[in-house]
Amino acid sequence: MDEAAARTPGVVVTYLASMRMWARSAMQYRTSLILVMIYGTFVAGTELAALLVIYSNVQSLGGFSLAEALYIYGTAQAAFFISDLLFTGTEYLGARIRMGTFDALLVRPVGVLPQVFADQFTPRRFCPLISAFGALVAGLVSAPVHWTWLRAVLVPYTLLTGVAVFGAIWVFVGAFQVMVTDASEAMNIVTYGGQFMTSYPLSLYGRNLMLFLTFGIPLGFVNWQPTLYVLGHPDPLGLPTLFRFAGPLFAAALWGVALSAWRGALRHHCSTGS
Amino acid sequence: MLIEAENLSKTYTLRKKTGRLKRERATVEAVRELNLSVAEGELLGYIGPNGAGKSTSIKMFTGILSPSGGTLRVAGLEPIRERKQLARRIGVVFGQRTTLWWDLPLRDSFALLHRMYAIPDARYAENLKRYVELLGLAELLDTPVRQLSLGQRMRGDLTAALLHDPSILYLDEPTIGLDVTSKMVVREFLAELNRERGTTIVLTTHDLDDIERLCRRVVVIDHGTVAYDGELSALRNRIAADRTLVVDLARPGPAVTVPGATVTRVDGPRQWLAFPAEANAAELISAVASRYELVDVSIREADIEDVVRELYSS
Ligand SMILES: Nc1ncnc2c1ncn2[C@@H]1O[C@H](COP(=O)(O)OP(=O)(O)OP(=O)(O)O)[C@@H](O)[C@H]1O
Ligand SMILES: [Mg+2]
Repeated sequence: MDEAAARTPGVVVTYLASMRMWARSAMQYRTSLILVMIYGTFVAGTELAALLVIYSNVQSLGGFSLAEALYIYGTAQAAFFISDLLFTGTEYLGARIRMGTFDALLVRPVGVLPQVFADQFTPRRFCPLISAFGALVAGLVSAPVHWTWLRAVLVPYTLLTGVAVFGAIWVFVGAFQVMVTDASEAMNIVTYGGQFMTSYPLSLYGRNLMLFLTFGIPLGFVNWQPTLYVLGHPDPLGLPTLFRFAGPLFAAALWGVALSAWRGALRHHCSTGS
Repeated sequence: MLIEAENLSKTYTLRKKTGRLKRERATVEAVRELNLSVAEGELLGYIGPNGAGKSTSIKMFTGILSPSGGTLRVAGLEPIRERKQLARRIGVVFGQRTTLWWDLPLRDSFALLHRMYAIPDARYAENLKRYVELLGLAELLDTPVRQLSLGQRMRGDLTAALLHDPSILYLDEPTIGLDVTSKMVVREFLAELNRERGTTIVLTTHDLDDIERLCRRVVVIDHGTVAYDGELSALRNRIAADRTLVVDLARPGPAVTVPGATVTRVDGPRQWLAFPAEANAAELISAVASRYELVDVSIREADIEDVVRELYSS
């Protein structure tokens, strides 16, 4: 028994194993997956095209040239969509709780959160990364940056702190879903033999607005400061230079708070059944 | 004792919308002061009417919900606090929700569990072979779960719950929606599992046939508390002391009066008379026949369903 417990998969293995199952599920519908991926790549590309159109009329916006704008757009998009790729499963928690399938995750001898992160994973989430990295690379190549070691290191650093901060926010999203979802709405489905499938709106709020508010603000913090440094721009707000390197601390603190919110939410779920 | 619950309670708090902004709190006492102990190797029938608190208590036993009161130990562990350790000791099947991967072949779901429970390879292979054989899943292993029938899926879910050799298996309505043959397969499988492997089984069902075929001990839950706990046969004797004589009279009339029997129901010319199991039925029939004009009679032995109905209503 103890021996088996010692070999129980940890967070990463649990996560990758669940992820693989979802990816394989998505692959079962190969044609539709391919079509949706082409469409997704195209939609993400049009956003980038819009940026190019704007710049075809002006030389610079807010003091940033096209190359710099591409870099800024690229890092922000890449950080967000990598986090989306890795952690967005928390968004489906509400639906899971209402359908009563969350329980199944709780009776396995592995962590709940990694299973939740991987929920509903689909390779489609790679699509926006193509234009994001396209913009990032184009920006890096063409921006008039005086490259130093520090600047070079700051590029992946910006991305990683961005992903980390967004990841913490996805954890908050999960905790929030657990807190507000009322399983008793779903009790009818569960209790009375599945006669009713309740219909519920999957998104009760404008998703884009929510995303902007929740991700936009920390983005300013985490991406903006090091980006200004890389591009050699002064900070219009005049914050101390130290701020440009505070991202990891901020990310670590956010994860700390997010994880305790998550644990609180799980405890709440266990005590209310909702 | 594998499961030990003392004064176990669970109160749900509901937030009800009463106005545009107003919300009222209401509480539901789903389980109250439940006392239960289950020994190793038992096959327990856990029954009760809708909303009695069966699923809620099973969720507490499995570490999904934390109790609002009382104490609970399962396999020597404290369910919520030691959730992961407990998970290795138990298997759970929720009849109405599958835990299998919907779009993937059965085999893949099993392989994931192999990994998550870190089941040693040899044991996994042996168990898989055994359950696949017993449950007739051999041809279905490569079929996506969404293409399986309800009965086939249930057999898949049973296998999934057992691959890691749990000491306790909880089944919440495993036969719901199954046809007669599938029910038979599942029942025989459970009986064998309990007999051969000594797996403790807690079986919740609304199909009293399941109970009658499988369980010696029955626990009846009503309004969140134990209404009966004991041998199935004793339960039958206790309440099923009554048999029913159904008489068809020549014409409708008021309830008949005969010594030694009481009318429980009148429907036109047909009347139902309850009488003690040990009384002489022939005497009762002649007593009725001597006072009323009889067209037809039949006698019904009390079955477990009556017994339980009686229990629920009292
Ligand atoms: N998550 C929940 N939130 C609020 N109330 C709940 C919740 N789950 C169950 N209840 C209520 O608790 C009571 C017991 O429900 P439970 O599901 O345990 O009954 P049950 O015995 O399993 O019934 P059934 O035979 O219909 O499955 C019911 O009144 C039910 O409405
Ligand atoms: Mg139930």
